[in-house]
Amino acid sequence: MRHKHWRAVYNNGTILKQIDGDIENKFGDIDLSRLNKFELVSNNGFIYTVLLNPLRKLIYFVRVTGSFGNGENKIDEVHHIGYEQDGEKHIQKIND
Amino acid sequence: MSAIVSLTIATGVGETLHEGELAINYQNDDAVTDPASSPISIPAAPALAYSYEKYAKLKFDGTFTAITNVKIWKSQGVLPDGVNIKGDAVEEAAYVQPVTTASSIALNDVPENDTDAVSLQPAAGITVTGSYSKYLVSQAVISGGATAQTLATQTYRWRYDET
Repeated sequence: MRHKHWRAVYNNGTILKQIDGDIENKFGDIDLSRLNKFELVSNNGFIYTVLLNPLRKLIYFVRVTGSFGNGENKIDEVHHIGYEQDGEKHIQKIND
Repeated sequence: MSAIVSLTIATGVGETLHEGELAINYQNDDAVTDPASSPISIPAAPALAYSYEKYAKLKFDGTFTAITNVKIWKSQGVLPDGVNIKGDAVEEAAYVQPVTTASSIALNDVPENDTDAVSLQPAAGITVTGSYSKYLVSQAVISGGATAQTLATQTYRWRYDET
């Protein structure tokens, strides 16, 4: 179970949450054309925010790394969050 | 929730799938059983001996939009003299019954760092829960005259990007 989940804030103020009660929305459900703000919300309440505008393209994915063969099931998850503007990528890496 | 990844190994003529495996066992048997029950005999030099090819792929369940950049490499474990593990990737549709002769697919040493990792990203993409990566086809190759022993555990590490 992840400790951080995204929240998409649209330019009309409505919000699409990744986890909304018993419903889990997919990243692909986000209408990127209406996105004003993208937030990564930690279970402890800390919020990472990307402010967006027509010149900024959202970047977000989770890089998941794990192994087998050594008896471990440890999985590392790192959120990559940021934006691309004028060909330059600005990304922050945040451990889950 | 999010994507849930697990290891699947295929055996036999008809691509029998063994879901939820925890390891790839290199052995003289097209099976996922304990390799100690089917050891590979060491030939006289300069001949080579081979384990059965092992077809292993990652399965993605759970909730996600897309899985990309799927890679695998061997991250830990030292192979003794005279033992190599070869491994390369093929699309799922290229499955054929594993052989215990020299593989025509697993030709290169399995990379030992993420920079050189084998890509398991299928051409069709992974966008539907229950989908698989490409197969990693791997095989242990034993040189004639190698010392008889139980191969120490090797660790494979995998990585993917999820949205």
